Amino acid sequence: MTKAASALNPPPAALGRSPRVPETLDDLRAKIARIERKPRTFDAPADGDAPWRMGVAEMDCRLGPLGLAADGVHHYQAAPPEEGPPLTMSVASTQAFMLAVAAGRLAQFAPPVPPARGHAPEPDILWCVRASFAREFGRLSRAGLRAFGLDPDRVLIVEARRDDDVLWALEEALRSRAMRLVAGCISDVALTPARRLALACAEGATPLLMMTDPRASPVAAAATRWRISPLPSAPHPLCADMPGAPRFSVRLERCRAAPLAAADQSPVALEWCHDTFSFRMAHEFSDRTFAPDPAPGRRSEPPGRVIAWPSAA
Amino acid sequence: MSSHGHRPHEARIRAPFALAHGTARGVIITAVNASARKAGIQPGQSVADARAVCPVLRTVPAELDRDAAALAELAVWFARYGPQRGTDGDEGLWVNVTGVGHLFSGEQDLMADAIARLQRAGFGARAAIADTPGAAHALARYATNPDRPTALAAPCETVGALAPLPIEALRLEADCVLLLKRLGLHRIGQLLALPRAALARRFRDAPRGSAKARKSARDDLARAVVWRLDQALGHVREPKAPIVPPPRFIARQTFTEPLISSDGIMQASAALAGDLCSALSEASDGAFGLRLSLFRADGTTAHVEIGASRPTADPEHMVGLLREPLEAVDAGLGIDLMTLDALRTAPMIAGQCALSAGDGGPAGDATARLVDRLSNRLGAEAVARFDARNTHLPERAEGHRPAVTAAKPAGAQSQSPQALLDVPLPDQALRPAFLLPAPEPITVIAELPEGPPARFQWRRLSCRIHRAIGPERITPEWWRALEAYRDSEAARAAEEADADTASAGKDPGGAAETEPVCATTGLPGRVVTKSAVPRVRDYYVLEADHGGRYWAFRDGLYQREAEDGAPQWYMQGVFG
Repeated sequence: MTKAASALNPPPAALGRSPRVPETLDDLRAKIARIERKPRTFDAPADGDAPWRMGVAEMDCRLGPLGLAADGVHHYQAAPPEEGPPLTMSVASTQAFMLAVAAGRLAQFAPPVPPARGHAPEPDILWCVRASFAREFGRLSRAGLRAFGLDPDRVLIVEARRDDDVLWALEEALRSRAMRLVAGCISDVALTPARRLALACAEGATPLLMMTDPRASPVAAAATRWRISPLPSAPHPLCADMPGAPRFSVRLERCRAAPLAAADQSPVALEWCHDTFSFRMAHEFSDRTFAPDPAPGRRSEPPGRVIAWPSAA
Repeated sequence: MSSHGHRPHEARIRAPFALAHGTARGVIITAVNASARKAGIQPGQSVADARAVCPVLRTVPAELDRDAAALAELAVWFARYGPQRGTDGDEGLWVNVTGVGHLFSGEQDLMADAIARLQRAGFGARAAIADTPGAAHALARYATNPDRPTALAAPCETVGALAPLPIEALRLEADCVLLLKRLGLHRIGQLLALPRAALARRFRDAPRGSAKARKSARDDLARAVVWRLDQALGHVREPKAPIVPPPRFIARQTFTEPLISSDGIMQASAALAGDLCSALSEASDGAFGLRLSLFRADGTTAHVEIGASRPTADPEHMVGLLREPLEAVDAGLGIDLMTLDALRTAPMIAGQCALSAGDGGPAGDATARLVDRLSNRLGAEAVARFDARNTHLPERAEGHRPAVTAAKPAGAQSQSPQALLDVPLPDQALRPAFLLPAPEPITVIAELPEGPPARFQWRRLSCRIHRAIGPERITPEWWRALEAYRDSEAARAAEEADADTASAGKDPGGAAETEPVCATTGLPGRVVTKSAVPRVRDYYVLEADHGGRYWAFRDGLYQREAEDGAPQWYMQGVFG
């Protein structure tokens, strides 16, 4: 029974050794969860129905079988400046991480149909900040978006004057169902607006990525909460003087869907690959030689199955 | 009826005044006021000639297209005298008033009414009514004067009314009029007295030139004279194309009991939107500019204007856009009349509806609605799309354009011939995700003459660099360098001129102060030098020891320090 339980809900350490996420059982669970949350009559699975994952096993096993909630609030916070890099940098890093996550979400949809000649493409992402925030921390750049595999013509930028306007715009965008993803930066979110945003996410079946100030209180209704800061990169593979792929120190502080799996609060070092537009483990961590396995026979078995074997005695 | 008008402001200026228009023959006067006319100035004269006659003449450039637009607007207003109306030349209007006179207790009173109304609006006008458009045209211009501004030819008395008028009244070409006068024909009556065959014969020896050309020109002249005469007398038909004013979509509702509650106003505007939209969809039109006017019981009016990014004929959407601004409207003593006016309309292109009401992915319509709602509350500038600019300087290449005006897509530029210059960035080019609004000066410790900084200080925080990529050289836009060179030359010339005039007794210290912003590069911190041309920039991606990545550049080269001034470092953006 203990064995069965550990196989169904394996501790992250066990998965660290075999970085393959169990599929069959998780997919079934995801399906059941979807059926329970929003009953569908006969629709074929649409775009973007697959669980939204980070693409890195270490991160995905903390997120639980459902992955990131496609209709929830994901709360990002930069690391406070006393923990290392200056605020400007950790805020930029957090925003970049949000862009990368957004790119991962958009990649789940079929590539957009190119618009007819003379028509602008329809935007998929709404990026909403306070105007003063954009002035201080920099404006989203058209050329820079390409490094995340995002099409600048599909981004709608909203610069509101006040935090209240940002909240309103985020909620409108979520409820309109016009966007595939909504992202916003705001100084702080009180309890009621946070709840409203979460409801709007569920109603519009649209995810919201939200960044608040490093010291703001946690957003109550968030599906996940993250703490991001930049990490020094490894040397470039071709030239040791040049920085390699950008790295993030990512800490999943909370995950409502898998509270136990996310209990491991240690930060994970992720690298963003500008060529494949995907995350990977920073290789100092992923290329570690494994400790000698105490039970060599177990590693070959795929997880997610209940296997009985005779006791060691 | 035909009427003949002057500009409104002309009557108010007492001194000699004229409007002039540049043509191939020089600057020609197009209109004059009463005192200029008294001084002997005629439209068609050149300004130089007119100034010789009247040295105090004041002239203003004529805006002929705006005049024409104003005349067309006035023609629309003339619908009160008859549905068929239009403009006549560039200074007249015509209205078909057949059977209308009795509504104004007689045709004379009709004309008096029209002239009185035009005068109240600031127009000087003369009018005439006759059986044919040609006769009315002639009478309005040649049988009236400012003291007696109307002329009426009784039915079937056109011949008698036209006979004393000069032949200019026949709408003939100037050379034709000249020729007729040379032949001794000054009045229409004289022309009428001639037999038609004799009239044509009169032109036999008229114009010079080859025999064939002479004959054809002669025939044309004869034909024109006879034709115009027949038109004026009604022997040939003269079809006139009446103007068709653009359809106006407006819904209005009056209330016996003034509305005070905001719920009532919302409901009434929903009803108005429904009416307007049914009218719009009948015409297959959609509105993208709307004005809701609320007339309060105390006589004041409140207006709410909203815009949409694409034409809409959906009442729900209109009400959604109106809701926010309506909340700010003060109903005062109550509202007894509301109108909803479609200010700008465009034909609607029928779109494909979704088959099921379920989630079919982001729909274009939903996006347009979202953009409208956001733009109407936050302001059109606050909701933007990226706009590609045709330059490679990072801060200029990035631009936003309001999403409401998204009719012009970003891709449209790539079809313009200019976009052939729009070379895409090389794949290796690294660009930060976030650009500062303007490059900020930083202090650095860097290798000379070139190399990435080892340390820098930005926003009072010092950073140690442990890895860097670069340089990526971005040269200034050569065409701007040329402009800047011209500007600096002009500025220097102006300065020298200033120095010459100021040398009399001005404090020289004041002139030496210059704004410490480079006028050509827009970068702060550098005093404008004599050769203030944009400088070469070397961009570096700098990774600090904490892992943050910056995008900084050196403006200028150490090798050219003597010519261009000391290089200066700037922070332009941050990577994630």
